[in-house]
Amino acid sequence: MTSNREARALGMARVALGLIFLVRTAPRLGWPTSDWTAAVPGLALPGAVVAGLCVLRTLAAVLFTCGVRARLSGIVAAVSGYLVLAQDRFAFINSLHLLFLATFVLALTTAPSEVALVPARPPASPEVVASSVRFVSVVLASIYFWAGVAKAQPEWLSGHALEAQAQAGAFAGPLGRWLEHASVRALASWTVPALELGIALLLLADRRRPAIVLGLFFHGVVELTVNPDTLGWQMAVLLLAVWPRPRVTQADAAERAEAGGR
Amino acid sequence: MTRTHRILAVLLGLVVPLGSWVLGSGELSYRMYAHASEYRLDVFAVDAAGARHRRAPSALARGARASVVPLVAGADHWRTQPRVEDLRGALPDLARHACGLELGSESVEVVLEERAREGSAVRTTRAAATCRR
Repeated sequence: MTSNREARALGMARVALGLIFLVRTAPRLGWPTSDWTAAVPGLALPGAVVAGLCVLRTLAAVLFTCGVRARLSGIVAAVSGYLVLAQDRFAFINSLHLLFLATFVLALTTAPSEVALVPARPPASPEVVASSVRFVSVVLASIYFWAGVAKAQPEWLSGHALEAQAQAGAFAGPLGRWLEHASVRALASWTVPALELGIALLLLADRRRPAIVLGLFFHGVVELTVNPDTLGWQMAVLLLAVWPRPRVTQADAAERAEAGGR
Repeated sequence: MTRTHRILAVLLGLVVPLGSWVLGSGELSYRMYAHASEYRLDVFAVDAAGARHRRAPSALARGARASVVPLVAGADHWRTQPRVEDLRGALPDLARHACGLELGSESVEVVLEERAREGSAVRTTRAAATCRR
């Protein structure tokens, strides 16, 4: 018996995120070559070390996905991912940052205890599961909050940032051509930060259902507009991981067992 | 939340993004598409006689990683980019890379020009590298 359906949802989120991690990075993303690039200052590593980190990242991601020492392996996968990414400062994209951050975050919740080949023992208490859900919600809220705050400035609100990036071909999705219209850009330049800040506030206020519905709608539209790598899928996994589910308390479980025995 | 989760939430949700915003280029603060700067590059090879020869920035794509190619290809014209900070920070490295492309030069100078939009003030950053023979 799972102590809590929310714990199981976190475990399923771990598996889903682990699969995205493997598809997106395995096995050679960031593999060292003789081609020129610049590392993040202070984080340049020898090629052999980077190659080792690529292998370690993949092995750790496999263990994280399967649920074998998933806490440790998730942390190792995330840290290796960041270190490899830091070797090419021009390769930084938000979806990879978010992928490694989400892996790190889920590794530090009760996600390693559920839907796992080797579940962590003892099972997490309902209080720790609730804390894990809240932790993921707060991290999600922070992502929306900072994204919204970054857009609360004239360059974005005037529609200039959208227009310039539309002209540069940044919006390659099926809905991207809508941004060729000034009226759509004007609408988007105000609704996007409003939605992001709204979702952040709802998550912080623990109003998860409306926050998740809005978030999934938002990422659906963004996915069809920008084709933002795997970012939308990662956010969907995290959002669905914190969908409120009825808790199975010990009293409920005892009552059900009693009813089953009659 | 447990104490550990509270500390981690503050660290990952507040300290890291705020630190990146205030102290760095904002990469870790989820700026996404919030900004769109324009930039262009000039590359000059200086020969033994001290004469400056303009080179196409696209030439810097040779021997560079795939992530670099879209940044330098066609960058003799104004281009739009959400983040130019990385290019600005790596300009001395880019000049050294240009030296390694057998441009037959004594030194290479790379000039980055940035502006918010057409007609706005231009910020210029230069970096030079002496080429080994």
